[in-house]
Amino acid sequence: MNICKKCGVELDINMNYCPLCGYKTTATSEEPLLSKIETYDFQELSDNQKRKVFWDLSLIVLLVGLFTSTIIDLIINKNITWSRYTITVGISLVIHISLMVFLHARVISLLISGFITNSVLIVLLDLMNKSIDWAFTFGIPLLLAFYLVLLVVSLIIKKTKQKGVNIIAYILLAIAAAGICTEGIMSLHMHKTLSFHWSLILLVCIVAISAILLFIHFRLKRATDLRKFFHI
Amino acid sequence: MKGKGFWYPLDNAAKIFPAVINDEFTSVFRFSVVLKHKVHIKSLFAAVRSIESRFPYYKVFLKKGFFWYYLESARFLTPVVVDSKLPCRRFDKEGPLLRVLAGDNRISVEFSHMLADGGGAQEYFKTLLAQYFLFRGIEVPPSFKYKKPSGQPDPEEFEDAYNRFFKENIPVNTKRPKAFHLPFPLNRKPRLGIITASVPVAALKEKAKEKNVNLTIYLAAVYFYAIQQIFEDPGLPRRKKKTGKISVQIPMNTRNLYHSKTMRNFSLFVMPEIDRRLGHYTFDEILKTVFHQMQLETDVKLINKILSRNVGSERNMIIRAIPLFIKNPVLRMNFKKMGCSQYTGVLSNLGGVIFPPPMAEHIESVMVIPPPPNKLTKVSCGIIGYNDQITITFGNITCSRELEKHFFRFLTGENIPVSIIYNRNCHDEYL
Repeated sequence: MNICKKCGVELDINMNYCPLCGYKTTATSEEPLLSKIETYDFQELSDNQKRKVFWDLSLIVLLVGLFTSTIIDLIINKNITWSRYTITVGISLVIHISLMVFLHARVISLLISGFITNSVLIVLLDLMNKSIDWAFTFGIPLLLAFYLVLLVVSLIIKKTKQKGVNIIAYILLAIAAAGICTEGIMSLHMHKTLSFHWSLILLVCIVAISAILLFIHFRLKRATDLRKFFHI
Repeated sequence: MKGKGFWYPLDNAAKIFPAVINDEFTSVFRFSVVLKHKVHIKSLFAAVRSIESRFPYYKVFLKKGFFWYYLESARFLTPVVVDSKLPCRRFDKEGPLLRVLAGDNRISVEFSHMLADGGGAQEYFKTLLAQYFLFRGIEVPPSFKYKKPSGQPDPEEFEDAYNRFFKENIPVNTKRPKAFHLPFPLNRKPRLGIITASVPVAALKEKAKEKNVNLTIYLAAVYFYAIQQIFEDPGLPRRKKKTGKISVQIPMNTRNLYHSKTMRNFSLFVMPEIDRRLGHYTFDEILKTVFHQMQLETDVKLINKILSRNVGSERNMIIRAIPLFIKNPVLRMNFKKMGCSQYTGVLSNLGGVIFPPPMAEHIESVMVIPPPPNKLTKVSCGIIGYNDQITITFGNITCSRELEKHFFRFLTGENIPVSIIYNRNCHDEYL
């Protein structure tokens, strides 16, 4: 009798694996037929290992780029001039890639860390002009607004079970919200009052397009039969 | 009647479950058969596939509507999985609500209570076994009644029988006081532990006959007696004994009263009780009071009253018009306050399954695992008879096995042999 060693059910004599648990019956031991420990094929790596490989490569490319640009700047100008921008952006990229590699599953932590990193970057960029002009008035408030919108839309997308054109609608609505925030923050600092013009036009257009997209999505969804959805 | 795609609202008994189920209180129950041979997996797969079209109402998944949940026909196949994890696990959201499990000599079927009650599930299980035996080359005598896979499902099998037999203008049932609940601390998650014992029918019947009662009443009385022993434990703090009412919920198959072929839920509960504040009850006194209460409560007119109370609230226009996201928390609260606080435990007797000789030669035992109990009742009991044996299964989410101990000790004290045939601790798979 051909018995599965794992779940104990009887298999046909010609079955070489158990259809219930997938255990290979032709194997003579509990070990899998092919050892997969020593493998260097990228396809065979786990998602985690792939992410680490990507991180290693990005780190090497960025550090080499930073080093090269600094050396070129030093040779040409005998001082660090424009390369301070590449250094700042490069370091920020390193931090962002590291955050995405190590915090990819934790959206909230990723966004908070991203916000902090970008805020520091904005302050550093502003400081390069010897005084802080725009970082705290425009830079960080705009960044905060973008990150909040990003957080809300990421959570909504994460919670959405059936992904389709509804995702485009959510992203468009997020863009509209970001527009409102941008114009609001700009007008508050430039005119000392809250006034909306172009962002309202953008909002109206986007809401109309998103409504059509959402209607298409929910109407075409297999489950959408209004009678059953609203059965009382 | 039902074409390719269909949907139907949850029946009255099932309506509460989507709101209250969680990883522990899963509302999933299980029928198992232990064979005398290893499960032949190819025959089992063939049997499961062959009966799928006969039970279309079980090939559905749960969907969320605006006012209520509903069940919608699905394209997926009934899953056949290895029986290696804790029994009665919760079903995935928007996944099948029925699974077939196999391992060694055991074939099991797990049903969500949203789909069916023990009566409907038993029919499916019998059909599955008959088909399995046929594919295995074992004779299934014509005397063995089951749903032939070649047949068409009767439209009545789809029906919500509660609604069909609902009568308007019947006074509603009065609210019952809170009952005594077992004082034991809960296990750490996953909580459910299972213990199953096999008892010879003849010995039980003889004892029940001596007392002029049927098996359900006899076993219910033993259950009451075991709970009373826990209540009388001198170590039990007084605050735990605030209410002396010991009440056991006993589901009854309403198909016997109303003649419906429905394969969905159609059970109601009777709740005999004793008031321990009146003093200690001897076993004979418990037997007498349970017998009379059961006689009274199973009267058609009183059953009508219970049915009307349950269905009446569902038909209330205000309740119906409340959106689901508001209704769900209210249902959860009501379930705790009005539902499970009114009884001490649950005892389900699924009756007997008779397998004729060619099939019986291959069957070692049959058992039923009741849905995991909730945090208040803590223990539930399921009983099923198979030929000359009765198996009694306790599902327990506490650290204590006192109730089971008192129950089985009483039976052995009455010279009824009890053999434990299945014992699974809740953390067995993690050992």
